[in-house]
Amino acid sequence: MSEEEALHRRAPGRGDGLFGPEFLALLERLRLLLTGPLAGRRRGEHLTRRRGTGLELVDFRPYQPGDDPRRIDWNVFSRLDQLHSKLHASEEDLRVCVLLDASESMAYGDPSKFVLARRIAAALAVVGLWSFERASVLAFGERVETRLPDVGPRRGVHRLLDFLGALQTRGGTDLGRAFGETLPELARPALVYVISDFLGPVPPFDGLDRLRTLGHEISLVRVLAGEELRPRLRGDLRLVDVESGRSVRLTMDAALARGYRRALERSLRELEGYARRTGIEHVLVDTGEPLETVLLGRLFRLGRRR
Amino acid sequence: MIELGSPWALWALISVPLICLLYWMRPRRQVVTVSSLELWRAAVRERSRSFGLNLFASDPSLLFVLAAAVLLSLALGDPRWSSVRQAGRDRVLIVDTSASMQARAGSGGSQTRMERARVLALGVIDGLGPLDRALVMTSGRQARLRSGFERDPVRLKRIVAGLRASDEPGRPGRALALALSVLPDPAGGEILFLTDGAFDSTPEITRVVDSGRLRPILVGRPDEENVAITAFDLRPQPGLEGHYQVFAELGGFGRSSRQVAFDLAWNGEARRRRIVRVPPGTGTGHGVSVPVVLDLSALPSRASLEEGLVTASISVTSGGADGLAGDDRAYAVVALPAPLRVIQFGEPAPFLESALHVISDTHLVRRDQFRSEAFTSGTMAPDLYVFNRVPPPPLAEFPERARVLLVDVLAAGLPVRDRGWVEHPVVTGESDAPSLSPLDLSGVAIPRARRVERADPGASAGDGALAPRIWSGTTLLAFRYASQGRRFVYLGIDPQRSSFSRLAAFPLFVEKELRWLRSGQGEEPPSWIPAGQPVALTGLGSDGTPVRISGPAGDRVRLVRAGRVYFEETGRSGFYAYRSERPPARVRHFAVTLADREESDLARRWSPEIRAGEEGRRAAPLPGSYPLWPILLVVALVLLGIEAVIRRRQLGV
Repeated sequence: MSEEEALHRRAPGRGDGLFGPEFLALLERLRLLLTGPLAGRRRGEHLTRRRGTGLELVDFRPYQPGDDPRRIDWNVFSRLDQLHSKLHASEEDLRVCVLLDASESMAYGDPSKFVLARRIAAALAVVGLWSFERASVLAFGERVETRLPDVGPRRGVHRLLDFLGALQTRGGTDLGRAFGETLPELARPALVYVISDFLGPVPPFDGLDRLRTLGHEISLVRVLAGEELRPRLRGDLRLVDVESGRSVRLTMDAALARGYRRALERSLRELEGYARRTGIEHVLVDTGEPLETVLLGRLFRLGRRR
Repeated sequence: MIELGSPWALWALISVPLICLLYWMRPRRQVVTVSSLELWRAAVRERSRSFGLNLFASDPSLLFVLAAAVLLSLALGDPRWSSVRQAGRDRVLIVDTSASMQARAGSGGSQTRMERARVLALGVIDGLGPLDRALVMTSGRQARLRSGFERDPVRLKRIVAGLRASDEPGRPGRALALALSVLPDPAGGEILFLTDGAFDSTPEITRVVDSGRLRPILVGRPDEENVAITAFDLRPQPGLEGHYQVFAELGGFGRSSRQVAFDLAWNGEARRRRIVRVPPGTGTGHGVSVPVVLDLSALPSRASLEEGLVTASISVTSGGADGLAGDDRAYAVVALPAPLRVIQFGEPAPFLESALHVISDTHLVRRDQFRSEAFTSGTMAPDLYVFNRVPPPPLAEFPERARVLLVDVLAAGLPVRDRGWVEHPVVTGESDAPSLSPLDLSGVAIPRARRVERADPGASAGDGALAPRIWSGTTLLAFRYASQGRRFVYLGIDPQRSSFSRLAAFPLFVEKELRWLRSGQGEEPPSWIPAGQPVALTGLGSDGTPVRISGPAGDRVRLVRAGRVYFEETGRSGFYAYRSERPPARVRHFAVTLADREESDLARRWSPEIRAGEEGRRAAPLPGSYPLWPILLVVALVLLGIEAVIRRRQLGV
């Protein structure tokens, strides 16, 4: 059964409200886009940014003790009288792993962040299946709550959509702990998409660093609700944290709204800065944006840039 | 420098925590669920860095309301800015501790004038700047320094907190003059006088007022009702042994008439009671005299006593209020003399002899002529030698400590000159002794008297002291003379030929002179002394003898005699007991009484440049001070206006 047939013959499941005909049509458009430029890019053909033993020369570096003497570029030595090693890109099979934040805070917003996050996860995982034949999804909150292990192209799309359709938000967020629990399953390099609002009490950088040390290629998809990006609160308020139940009393005025915007911009800049420093991709998604724009205009380019 | 006119108004600051409490109890908050509080907390923290407190960061309008409440509270405190307080300033704080300060601050009030003055004095100390110094002084009968110039407010407050009103009549002129003299800074110093103003101005007071450095702080109401014993004395009843005449004068102050019960007690036993009506206005004019005869002849214990303690008291039974309790009691100590042994030379003197018998238990021996053996006979020396128109020996021949009454005759050695006779002399002057002053001797008919004049007017003769008692121009009709332990009384008015002996003043005169002759030294001991007046204690043995004195409140003082013992702590009225600690020790008493017409008048009679009816500091604004409350009020209203705008914006109106 071809991929197109698998997509259209999918039996009705729990995520049908979430992944309706419009969403499936959108996936179909993605698939058509992928068949062009990505045609022929199958397993073993994906170039990673990891330096390895492949044939494609990507860079030189001064020779260091322990380097393979066979990789010394003698032509450079004859010209410069200096030893340099040749660096080649590694060629290996890749798989896609989507880490989806399923904490209570993702249920915030209208439409909720979790709806959009699951659609994005579905799209990224399905495209991963089509591109690399293996994909997995891990839903986390304070820890990894549930997981869909590697699925292949055969019936993989159905299982992915059923799994995502059945997910529900629960508990708080602890990215560090959750990412620590993913390490055994991410022992081999993978394309890792982290979909979250990144609004937990602890910055996610330690957890992301642990993922990076394993050589994964990481993309961050930050999903924020319009109410979070542009709060329209006024008067005497008691704000209750949906995850911890804690509250803070305040009286909303223009000065406090400015302070909130500055705090939000700081948070956005911190994550963007981290992504820039560490060379990983970062995309901010507003729940108010049309899904098509998000997928085709921004997320699809994540894969294309690799 | 800023000072508060009404510091009590700062109690309004209690509204600040109340506002905070109401803020936290505010039930109108809308509950909103958010995905995370982190960004909101960061925003609140950011604002708190600007405002300083989280509470105000989450609601800046609260800050404005609280600031307005603080400003309004301060405005109620009547703050004043004084432009002259750039450098440290010296202040003399005089607290009036006279008896009138025991009166209640107002009708039905629970605070006495003294308590009110103490509170205001503490407020003044609170208002001292760090460089200011203050000296505390009290004004009663005497001015007393209670501290030096101090900067330590704690020490000053401790001194002020310990001040109590006395039973002394006030003599504020002394304290004010002293205060003016101790101010070291000729320009910047200030005298703060906390008083009820219940005294008449004197030139001394006017001088201090005119100096411009006096700031009166008046307490109490300007007028107050009172009834008091304004005069008191007693003496033996002539002709009736064991009977005493008690003279009391009652005065009513204010506008009400009162009926009072006048009680007399002898050594603590109630003896007499009279109901007296005291009309209004009798305090400042003529008082109501209450003559009472106290019959003690039947008291079995009297014979064994040397002193008697007499207490007079009044209590209002109907009519107006009695503002001061301290002047409702008077105290006196009566010395009960031992039998008097008299040798009289010359013809019998019936009037004089009867007076002596009346006054005392007299044993009289009569001799026609004086012989020098009278001084050297082995019999016990008499208490008194009387020379009735018989020439006495020269002074130097009299035995030591001799007591001599010379009737119409002079002894050689007296510092007087006998310049013949004067016909029908008229009494033009008399001693100011209490027993003589109420009597008018100008009507005494004297057919003839010796013209006796001072040998050297204006100076004492030899080592003796001459004290005129009755005189007519420069002619001495009676005088006292004391020299080398001897005492002489000369009476130039012949009792047999003049009308003096038929007047009540005659036995009174004899009794007083006899008391002086029999007493140890100086003026005769009075039956009581005014509160606050130092008293010389007698009969205490030799120098170095410890003396113990206990006051009416049970307080005790121990002194060591070195020369004459003066006791100054007589501010409380009542009986004081004292005795030598070396045997044989006899307990002696003296009495202290207020009985002062001027002090019992509680109405304010002195109020220089004071707006009537006002009390305390408000009555005397600081020199060069400006009220700040209008500014505070305006700022508070502006803040409340800003708060209203903020609220409108918060609520999206």
